[in-house]
Amino acid sequence: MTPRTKSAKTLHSVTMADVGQQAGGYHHSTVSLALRNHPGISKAVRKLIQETAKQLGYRRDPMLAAFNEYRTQGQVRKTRPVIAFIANFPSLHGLEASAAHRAMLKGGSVIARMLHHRLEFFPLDEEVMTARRLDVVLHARGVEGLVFGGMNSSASPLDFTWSRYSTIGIEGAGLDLFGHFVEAAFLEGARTAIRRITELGYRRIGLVTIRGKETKRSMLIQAGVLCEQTLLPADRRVTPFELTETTSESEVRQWLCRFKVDAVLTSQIAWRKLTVLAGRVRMQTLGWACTDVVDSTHDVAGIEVDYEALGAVAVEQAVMLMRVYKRGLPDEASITFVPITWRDGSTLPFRGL
Amino acid sequence: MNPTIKDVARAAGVHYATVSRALRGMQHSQATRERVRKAADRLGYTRNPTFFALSGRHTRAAVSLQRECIAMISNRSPEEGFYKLFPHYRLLAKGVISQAAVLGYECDLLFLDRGRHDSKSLYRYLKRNKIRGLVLAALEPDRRSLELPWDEFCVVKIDSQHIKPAFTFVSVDQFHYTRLAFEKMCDLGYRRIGLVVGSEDERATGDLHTAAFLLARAGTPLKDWVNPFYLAPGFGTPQARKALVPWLQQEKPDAVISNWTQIWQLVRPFKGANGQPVATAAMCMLTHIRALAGIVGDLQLVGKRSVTSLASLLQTGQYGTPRIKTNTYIQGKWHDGPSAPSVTAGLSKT
Repeated sequence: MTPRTKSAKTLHSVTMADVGQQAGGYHHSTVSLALRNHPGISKAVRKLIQETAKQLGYRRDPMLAAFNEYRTQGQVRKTRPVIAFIANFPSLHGLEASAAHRAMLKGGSVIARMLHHRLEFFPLDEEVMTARRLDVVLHARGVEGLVFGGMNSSASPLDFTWSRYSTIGIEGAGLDLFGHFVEAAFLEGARTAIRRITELGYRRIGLVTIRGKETKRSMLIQAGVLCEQTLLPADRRVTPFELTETTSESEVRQWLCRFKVDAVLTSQIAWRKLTVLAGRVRMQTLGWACTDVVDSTHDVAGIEVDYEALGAVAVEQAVMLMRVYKRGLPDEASITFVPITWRDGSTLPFRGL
Repeated sequence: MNPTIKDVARAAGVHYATVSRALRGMQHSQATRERVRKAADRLGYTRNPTFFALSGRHTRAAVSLQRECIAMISNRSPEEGFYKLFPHYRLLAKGVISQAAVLGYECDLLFLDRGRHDSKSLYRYLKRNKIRGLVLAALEPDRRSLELPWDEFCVVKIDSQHIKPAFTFVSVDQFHYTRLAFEKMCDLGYRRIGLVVGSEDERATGDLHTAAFLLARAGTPLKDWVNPFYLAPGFGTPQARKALVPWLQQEKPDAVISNWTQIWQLVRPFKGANGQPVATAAMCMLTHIRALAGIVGDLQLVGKRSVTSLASLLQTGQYGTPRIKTNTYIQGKWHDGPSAPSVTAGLSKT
C-alpha cells in the first residue's frame, strides 16, 4: 500500500495563529504583518516570526488569499490607493497648460490603473500650497507614494516627512535629494543629435546653455556633446557657450565667428535670447536643433522626450517601492533613463555634403 | 459598460480565447499579438482586476501551493569560479535571492557553462519549471552565449550589454562614480586629474566614464586638463605599466581616477606636476579596501533592483522587449583613504 502520510500531514495546514503561538505568543495579525515585512513591526520580531513560519512550513492558502483579494478589492476598499503627482502649479488647469506635465500625468495614470492604484495631482505652489502644508494633507489622506514631476529649481525647501513616503522624482531640477530619479536619456540623446546634425551636412555645432539653469538634463547634454566632440578633428570642436544675464550682442557674435558655428544645439528659451542678441537675420543662417521640442511647433528639429514614458516609469517604481514597504529616502540613490528620439525639422534643413 | 475581451475579439476578428492569450503574451505570432493589442487599446479594454486576481489564483492553486519561480542566469559556473574567484557574482546573487524572497518569488540560480546548461537545455528547464522571469546576471561576452525565444520571458539584464534585445537594464552608475571621484579629488586639493579606464569597459558602458570625466574637466581651468588614458583589451600589469609610463610623463597628472584597483601600486612611484606622488582613487570597489580612496558600489542593491524591475514586468505582463526600455543605474559611496591624502592643508601654508 502506498503510504499517505504526505496528505495526512497537510490535513491540518499551519495557520498564522500556529506561527504566532510557536514564536512566543504573538497575535495572528502581528504574524500577518510580519510576514509581509511591515515596518510597523520591529525588525527583531519580524525576523523571529519569519523564521518560525519557515520552520513550521507555513504557506499562504491560495484560495483564502484569492477570497481576501476579492473582498478587499471589490467590497471594502472601493477606492484604489492614491499616488500623489506633485508639481509646481497652482491648479490642475495650470498644469494642463504644460504639454510635458500633461503627458507625464497621463502616462502615469494609465500605468497606475494597471497596477491597481490611482495617480492624483497635488499642487505645490508658494501661494496656494506650501510643502509643509501639503505634507499634512498627504498624511491625512493616507497617501504613501509620491511622484515629483519636473520641479522648478526656485521652489522653496521641500520639508516633507520623507519617512512616510515612497518617493520617485522625475527630472531632478531643484530636487537635490538623495533618492530615486527617472530621467530622459539626454546623454545618449545629445550624442544622437550631434551625429544627426553632422549627417545633415553641418560642420561646426555649438552648444548654448543658460547659466543658473544647471539641471541633470543640461549636465547630461553637455557631457554627451563633449564626448561626441572627442571623435571630431580639433578644428571642428566648438567650445560650449554660456548665456548669462549680461551677455552682450558682441559676445555672441564673437563666439559665432571664432568657431564658425553653422548649427546650434540649444533650448527654445536660449534660442530666443540668441535671436534677440544676434539678430534674426544672422540666426536664420544657422541650423537650430532644439534640446526639447515638446513646446515647439512641428517644424522645429530636435530631441523628443517621451514624457508619458517618464510618468509611467516613475509610477511603476513608486508602486514597487510601496509594495515592499520601502519608505523614506534610500541609502543609495538610483537613476533610471527613458529613451529619447530625434525629430527632423525645417529649422535644420539638409546642407549637403 | 466597459469593453470585454469578446468585444476586442470581434474587432480583431479572432476568438476571445486568442485575445486572452495574446494579451498575456502567450504563444501566437507577433502579428496576431500586435493586432489584438491594437484593437484592445483602441476600444480601451482593461482587464477586471478582481476577476484577474481570482482566475490567477485559481490556476495557481491547481498546480499545488507553489510560488512563482524566477531564475538568475550566469555564464560562469561554480567550477569556473562563480563563488570563489569573482566576488561580484556572489553579491549579485545575494541581492537577487533576498529580494525575490521579499517579493514572494522562488529563485533558481542557473548556470550556462561547460558541464551545465546550454541554451537548449536551459530553455527546456525553464519551460518545464514554468519559469517566466529571468535576470541575466552580468553575462561575460567571451563565454557561452544565450539564445532564447525571448518573447516567452520577462527579462532584466545586469550589465550583459552584448545580449542584443533591448531589455530593462540595471547597473552600477559609472557616470556618477566618475563625477563623484573627480569632485572628491578636487576637494582634496588635486588640480590635474586624469582618467584611466579599460577601452573594453568604455565600449560596454557607452563611454560613461569618458562622458562624466569630460564634463567634470570642463569645469576646471584649461591648463589643468589631462587627457584620458585607455587600457588596451586584455591588458596585464606589465603591459599596462609600459603603456602608462609615457602617459604619466607627458600628462603629469597629480591624481588618477580609475576603475582598475591595481593602478595604485603602478603610479605611486611617479610624481605629479604638484611634486607629490601621484594619488589614486579607485572607482570599482566591492568593499572598501583600506589602502585606497575611492568609491564602493553596492552590488547587492543592483541585484535587488533587478528583481524589483523584473517583478514589475511580470505583473504587467511585459514579455520580450518591454514597452519602455529603461536603464537604471545605482550610485555608490565615497571613502577617503591613504592613496589620496588631502593636499589642501599643505597648499594653504605656502
